[in-house]
Amino acid sequence: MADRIASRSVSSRRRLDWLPFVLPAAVGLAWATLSYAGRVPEYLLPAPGQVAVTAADFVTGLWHCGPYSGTFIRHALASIERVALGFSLATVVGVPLGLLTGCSDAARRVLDLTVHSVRAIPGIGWLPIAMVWFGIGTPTTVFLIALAAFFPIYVNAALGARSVRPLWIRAAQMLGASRRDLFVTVIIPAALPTVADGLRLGLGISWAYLVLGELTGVPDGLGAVMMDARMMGYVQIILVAMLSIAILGRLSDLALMALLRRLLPPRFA
Amino acid sequence: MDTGTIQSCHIVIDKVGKYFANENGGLWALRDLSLCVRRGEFLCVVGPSGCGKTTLLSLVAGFDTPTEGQVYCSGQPVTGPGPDRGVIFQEDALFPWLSVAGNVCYALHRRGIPRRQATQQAMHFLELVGLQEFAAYFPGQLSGGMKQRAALARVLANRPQALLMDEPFGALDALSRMEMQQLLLTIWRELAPTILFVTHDVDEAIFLADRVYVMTARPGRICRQLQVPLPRPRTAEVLTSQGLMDIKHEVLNLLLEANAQAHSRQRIVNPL
Repeated sequence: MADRIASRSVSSRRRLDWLPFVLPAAVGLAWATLSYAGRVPEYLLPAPGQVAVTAADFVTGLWHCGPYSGTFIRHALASIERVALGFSLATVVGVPLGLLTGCSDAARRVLDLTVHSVRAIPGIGWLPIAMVWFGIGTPTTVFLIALAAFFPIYVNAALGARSVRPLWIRAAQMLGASRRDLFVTVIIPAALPTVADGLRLGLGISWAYLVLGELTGVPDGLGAVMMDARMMGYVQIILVAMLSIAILGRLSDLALMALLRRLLPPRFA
Repeated sequence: MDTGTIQSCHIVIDKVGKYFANENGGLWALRDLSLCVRRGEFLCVVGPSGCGKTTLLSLVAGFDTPTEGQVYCSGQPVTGPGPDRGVIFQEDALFPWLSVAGNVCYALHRRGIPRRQATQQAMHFLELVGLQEFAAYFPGQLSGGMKQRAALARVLANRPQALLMDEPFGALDALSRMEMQQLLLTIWRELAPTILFVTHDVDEAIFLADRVYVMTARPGRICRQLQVPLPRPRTAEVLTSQGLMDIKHEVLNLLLEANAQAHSRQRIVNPL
């Protein structure tokens, strides 16, 4: 389903490419066959029809299936807000620091050892201390997301700035560019495609750490829904929440790509 | 070189050496090299690949500093790159994120020339190189010859006193190269910059230059200086003229001789 929405928005005028849907369809078919043949117990994997009704009810609230009826928007908005905050924070800090590291040897020597040592701690390893510092709730989640997304963004921005062709620097210098000009008019635009790659990676990781942050007992958000539903043995809603994250993650990636395409000059992406 | 020469010539390279350290101990890319380029002169340095031509040009451009000796431009020691010396590189050095017009405007914007005025000036120079219809294109959409035209317009828009050209037409096919040579001569006649042009192509050097310096490798040094008495304006017929052939003969002999010497030296150094 996620893929259907995705490919529509990319290629609305082209003929629909059916190949990407073969695999989901095959998995769905296998799932349906197993479920309706009674080969998997419902408490492990509910039937597709059931999940579909739960999903529709989760979004619209028309079927009154249970406590999550019609709560999708509330939970999704809470999650989106956390991702947006954490990812923005990571971008605002990571891109400038990365670019600086990439083009100044002094900045690299000051930052690199520290950043890469901290990077060696897996994001999940920050959960206990984040809970001590920020308690349970949005701040912890945002902190985890910002921290985890920072590294790919920082590393790619540094890589982008470092791999600017020396010839462009020389060309700019002989055309009269000052040091500041070099940074603004050569290093930033030349690094932009690599920075964009880092942002996409960072956004992907943001969704992963969103779930981690929300598993720890926040009242709302898709991760919280999954964790609460597990306590109640409400497997359908776990699957629906996972599916929601898949769709939102893909949509956010498409939105980011569209934004970056507008930012990147044509013929240079 | 005496101060009189340093003051009277546009570009003076005075007993310059450039040493590159590397894991095998290092080598002198240039050694004890002197030459001078008069104001408004078209000077070519011709030599085999790897003889240090590009290094020489980098020193004049100010991208690099000599290990020994000094480079002077308009009587002043060169301390870094500057807009008075426009460089045309061997490789494509246009900014791919800017349009052709954007590339040509780059230097003008750095000097704070207002946008409209800069665009007007850029269009003038694009017309000069025959690219006025490609102003909105991006470098990635241009052929090799067009890219070098755009590079030329970008540098000229900055009105440099000297053009430093590093085998700018080396990657072009024979026909485009001839077109570009003609274009360069036209531009030289109209705008009268001093040109220091390095190439490995003997025909090209003789066809373009007032004077040719012949350079030999390891370490790079000048072995001879030749006047090119061919009349101007020069057209394609010059390329097959007897006058050009005579000079070419002389240059090739010098290069072959130097090459043979270098090889015999190597054999002595390395008995294997």
